[in-house]
Amino acid sequence: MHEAEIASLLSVCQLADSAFPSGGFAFSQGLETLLAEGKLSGEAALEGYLAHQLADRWLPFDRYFLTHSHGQADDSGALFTLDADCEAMSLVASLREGSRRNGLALLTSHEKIGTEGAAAYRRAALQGSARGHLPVVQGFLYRRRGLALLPSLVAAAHAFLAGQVAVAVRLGTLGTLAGQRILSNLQPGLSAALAEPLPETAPWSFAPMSEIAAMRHETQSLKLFTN
Amino acid sequence: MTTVSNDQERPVPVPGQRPKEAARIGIGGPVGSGKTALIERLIPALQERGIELAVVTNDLVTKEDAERLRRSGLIDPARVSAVEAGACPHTVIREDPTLNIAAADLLCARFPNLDLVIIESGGDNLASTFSLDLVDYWLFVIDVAQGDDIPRKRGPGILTCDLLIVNKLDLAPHVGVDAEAMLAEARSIRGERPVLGCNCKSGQGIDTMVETLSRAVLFTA
Repeated sequence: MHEAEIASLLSVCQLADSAFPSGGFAFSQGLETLLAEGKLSGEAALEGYLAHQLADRWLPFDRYFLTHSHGQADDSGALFTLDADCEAMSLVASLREGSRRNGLALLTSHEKIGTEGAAAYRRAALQGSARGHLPVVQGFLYRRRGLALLPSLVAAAHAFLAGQVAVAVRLGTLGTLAGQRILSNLQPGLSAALAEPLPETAPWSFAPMSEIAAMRHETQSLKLFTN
Repeated sequence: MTTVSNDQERPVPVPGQRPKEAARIGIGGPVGSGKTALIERLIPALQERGIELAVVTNDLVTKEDAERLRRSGLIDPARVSAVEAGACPHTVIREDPTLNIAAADLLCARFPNLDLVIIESGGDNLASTFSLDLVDYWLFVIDVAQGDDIPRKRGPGILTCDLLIVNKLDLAPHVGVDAEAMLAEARSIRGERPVLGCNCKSGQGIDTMVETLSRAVLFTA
């Protein structure tokens, strides 16, 4: 194996590690409400839900923005336009705000560890000239860390799924080993999807169950997560 | 201008000079120890000294602390920001403080004249500590009603905070605690690190606390 491949694997391990400070632990993407209201219960139901989140939300939406951001990481004008598009296509307020906050938190970490360009992007997000949405920020930062597109997508997809499993574990509705079983079971489908080129369609998502739950989350007084 | 010591690269005040950015202090401690009540006392005491401040709260389940401060009339509600901890009160102040850093930075961008940002942890246990990526200085608040054995149980919060606060001194006779003995034991355990007693109902100890903070991070004393 070439040294560059080893370096890439090490970067994926670092960036997708739940110990990497990204702010992601505070966002449930509607899952907290679904679990609290009993709309989802049991390992099989959660696995099915996450398979759907992957197929009908992360792959056609987040993957699109991450891919294009990764390809335009050296063009701040194009990046900020992409960021604005992501904002415009994020209907649910708590998910839209959560994506921005998560992106800003990730930029914060990368600024502190010295990722090139992170400070300028973060400044733009703080000043409001950029939105700082998570998938756009991930594509930009991972490219700046020297990661190729595919490992960037792997790192981001794993972080998304592992984060969702962690929500269920922390809320006491799923055992930690059951969570790992779910992640293992989802890997073949994710691998197959990422092996295919990004479809030449506009970004889309269709996840009404989680979106309605995220809307309901906005008005709930008892909650542990941001959305 | 600051100089850097070898104590985890923490800035050391230069007398008569103010830091370039708003100082950040953390306030942690167990549930119900009086962290929010302490902040309600600190706000007017610091404002009397001309200190411009803002607050970030980390409520665990509700927005109780943030809303309490916003409704208090002590501070412009826009200067209070709530960060949800995702069921991880430790994580949001230590392992992954990025959401709190970003919240404090947003407050500083919105209010460029800030001297101080206070970051209140959610109620936690004695192992709670603040990341020095997040704060310049941090307080850990315990109270006499939790039992006089709390200091000798030690824990990283008790041992490593910059300033240990023993709150609710007024309750000591009602819960069978010798407050002076508890303070003496806390001082003995912490060595040279300071310990202060206070009573947030009466304001006892608040002036000394503000003096301590002013010397440590505001460079105004």
